[in-house]
This record gives sequence, C-alpha cells and structure tokens, in this order.
Amino acid sequence: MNAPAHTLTAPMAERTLDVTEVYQAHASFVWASLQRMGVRGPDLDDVMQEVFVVVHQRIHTFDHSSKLTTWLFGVCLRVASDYRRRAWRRREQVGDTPLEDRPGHDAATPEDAALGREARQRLDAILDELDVEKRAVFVMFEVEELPCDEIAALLGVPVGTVYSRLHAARKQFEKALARHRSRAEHGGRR
Amino acid sequence: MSDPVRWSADANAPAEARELLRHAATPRALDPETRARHAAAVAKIAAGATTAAAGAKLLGGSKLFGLSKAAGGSKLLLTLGLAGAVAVTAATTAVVRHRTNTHTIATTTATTTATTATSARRATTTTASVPATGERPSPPAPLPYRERGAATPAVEPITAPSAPRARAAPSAHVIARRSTDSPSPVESAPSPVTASGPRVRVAPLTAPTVTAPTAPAPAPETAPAEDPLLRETRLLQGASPESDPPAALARAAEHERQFPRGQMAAEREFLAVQALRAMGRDDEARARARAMVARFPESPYASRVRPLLSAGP
Repeated sequence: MNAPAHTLTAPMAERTLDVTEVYQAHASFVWASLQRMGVRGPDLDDVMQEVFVVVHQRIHTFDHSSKLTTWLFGVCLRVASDYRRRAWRRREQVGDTPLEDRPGHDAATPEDAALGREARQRLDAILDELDVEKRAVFVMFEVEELPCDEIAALLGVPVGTVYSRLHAARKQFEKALARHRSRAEHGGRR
Repeated sequence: MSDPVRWSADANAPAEARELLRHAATPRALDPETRARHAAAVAKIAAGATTAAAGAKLLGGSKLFGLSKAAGGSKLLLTLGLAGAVAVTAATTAVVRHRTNTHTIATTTATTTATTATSARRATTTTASVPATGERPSPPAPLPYRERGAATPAVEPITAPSAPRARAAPSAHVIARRSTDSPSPVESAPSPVTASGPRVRVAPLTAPTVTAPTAPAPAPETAPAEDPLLRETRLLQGASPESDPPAALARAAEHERQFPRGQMAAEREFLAVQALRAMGRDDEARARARAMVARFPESPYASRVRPLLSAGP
C-alpha cells in the first residue's frame, strides 16, 4: 500500500469509519453479496449505491463488536429485500425478464445458449422464492462452490450456522422447485 | 463436522435442481471501470450530496447517476445513466490522455488514495470536457461506442458490463478471498488521524463533480442547459418502454430527428427496441435491433439485443 492510504487509517475502534474507506475495503464483497441475494441486471448499480447511502447514514451505529463484512451483509440484506419487493411488483406488471439477464454467448451453439438462458431464468425464478439470506448462502455454496468455513468467515457466523442455513435453503429450494413444476404442468406457461 | 456434498456432485440430489445448477452463473466480478465509477459516487455520498434525498427514501442512491427515476424505477432509465457514465468515460479517456493536467484538483489532494484520485480525476475531467463542447450544436465528440466504419481515433471502447460468467469460474473464490483476507486499508496500520480527517479529505474531491452531463432540473452554472449531451439525456430520460411504450417510441423518434448521430444514439435505439417489443411489434423490434447491432457492434446494448436476433427469423 502506498503512503496516502496509511494516513487515512486509524485503529478501527477509535473512530467512526468513513463510507469511502468502507467502499475501498469491501466494494467487491458488497457487489458479490447483492448478486447472491438476487439483485441483477442494471439494477445492480442502483442497489449498490443504495447500500452505500445506508452505510454512510448508519456507519456510526457499527460498534465493532462484529466484523465489518457481517454488518455490511446485514445492510445488503435489508436493501436487497426492499429491492426485491419493488422488482417483483415491476415484474408482475411487465411479465418479462429483462434482456440483460439473457447472456449465453459463451455457449457453443444458439440452441445451447437458448437452453442455458432458459435454465438460468428458471433458476433465478426459483431462487427468488427463497429468503434473501438463505438465497445468498445457497448461491455461495452450490453455485460459487465456496467451502462452508469460508462462507462462515465472510458472514461472521459459526460454521454450524452456515450448515443449518444451507439445509433450510435447500428445503426451500426443493419446495419452490416443486411449485414451479406443478405450475408448468397444470396449464401454466408452455 | 464436514461440509455437505454439493448438489452438483451428489447423485441423490434432486435431478432437476442439479440440471438447473449446471447452468448457473456466478456473480459478476467488480471490474475496475465499475469500481471507479462507484468510487466517484461514493465520494459524493461521503460529501453529503445525497443526505436530503436519501433521508426520505433509500432510492436517493439512483440520483447519484444524475437521473431521477420514476417510482419503482425503470430499468432503462438506469441503464441510460450507466451508459451515460460509460460513454462519458470513454470520451474522457481520450481527453485525459492529451490533457492530463486540465484539472489537478484531485491529484493535488495529497491525502487521497491512488484509486480515489484516479476516479475523481476522471470525474472532474468529465465535467470539464462536456461544457467545452457545449455551444456547438453537433459536437465532433468521440462517440460512446465506435460506430462501425466511423473514423474514431484511438478511443478504446470501454468493455460492456460483461455477462455473468460461466459456472465454476475461479474468480468467485478470488472475489470472496479478496474481500476478506486481503489486508484492507480499514483494518491496517494505525495512525493518528482525527475523526474529522476523512470528511475533509473527500470534500475537495467531490466539490467540482456535479455530474454535469445528466444533472436534473436545478442545473448549476457549470452545466449550461444547451449542452447537447444534456439535451439528449433529457430527451430520452423519463421515457419508460415498459409503462408507456408509445411515448417511449415517440421520444426515440424525436431524438432521432434532433440527434441522428448523437452521442446517445445507441441508447435511443435500445429504447426503441424495448418499446417495440413491449407493444408486441416483434418483427420491427428485431429489424431495428439488427440495424443497431450493425451500427454499434461494441455497445453494451448490442450484446443485450443479440439474443433477440437469434430468437427469431
């Protein structure tokens, strides 16, 4: 690290952090967490900013008793939940998934791309039915394939908590999957 | 106790879940461009730029990009904001190369970290460069994205927000590790700084960055209302292809009339494509999308509408 960065930092417990410092240290964590919670497409930028507005307003309440990432994860949870309520309303009105959620240029053929896209959309729809927090744990473990102790360290919780959240998340996932299946069979879409 | 077996590796897991997970996309990494853009916005937050708006509603965040969003928010508006930022940055990159000393506010702020300084300088130069082209009706400004065949010198296009990468990319681990394990500036070396230190630091950075190109109503004197980019943005912003497609289409048409080769031509075409789709005019949407991809092959919007093209005849 170069000299200027040093002059910014003081022992954490001695003073209130500044939002820019929090950003510099944990931008990637927030960015990834929001996606794990289901924020996607162009909304991601907007929600990212909302998080840091809240951080700016609430950072004085951070009492250093937990890890900063734990606290940030909590902020992300609240903002992402709020976002999801809005996004749901919007999606119900529009009845469409945004174009930007349809990548797939990495696929070998257009057919593969279409299949992958459809699978991703269905997966997102199912994941969106999970609690935001469980969704995040599920994605970290099943999609990103992070080991549980790493997830525990990120969230600042005991690894046992990760196990139980993952267990609950899987249950919710299976239920949501079943709901989607029966909806598709009983004259739903397609 | 050891980790449970991942569903992807567990033959007893629900088959359908395994199949879906096979196509899952890992979170997108925070690329340097996006990081810098957000850093500039966060500096503004730190300077209290959003306190009033944010106090009322969390949505205040979106104003940072200088675009007011209708309640609930339109994806496109936000996209426009982003594209604006990307576009301006792209345009600015060239400017910065030749006139690095135009604005030295950021660089002279001794206590700034390297990254913040970079983004801030970018931001200040941006605001500086836009009024410079201000009074001319049709600026020879660098296009946001190179039009195919257009002779745009040496402006490297900023890469589009990349699509979620394929599963099992190692980057996910990297992101996670970096955010926890790396010695973060926050947690590192002690040094005697008073509580007021950081705030003083950000203030001079953010003062000149008023987001001139897209700032709403009370335009400060740094952003003349005649600025073409501002006018283009005004014309397109507020048009929601979802809630009112005909109006959005009309806006696009008006933009095309006034700024056929404007800096936000790609955004306009994207708006039109979305509006046409919303109205069920899929063939027209596809035709327009095709033309748009041909004209702006490197625009992020092009990659967004490409799926449309492969979906139809």
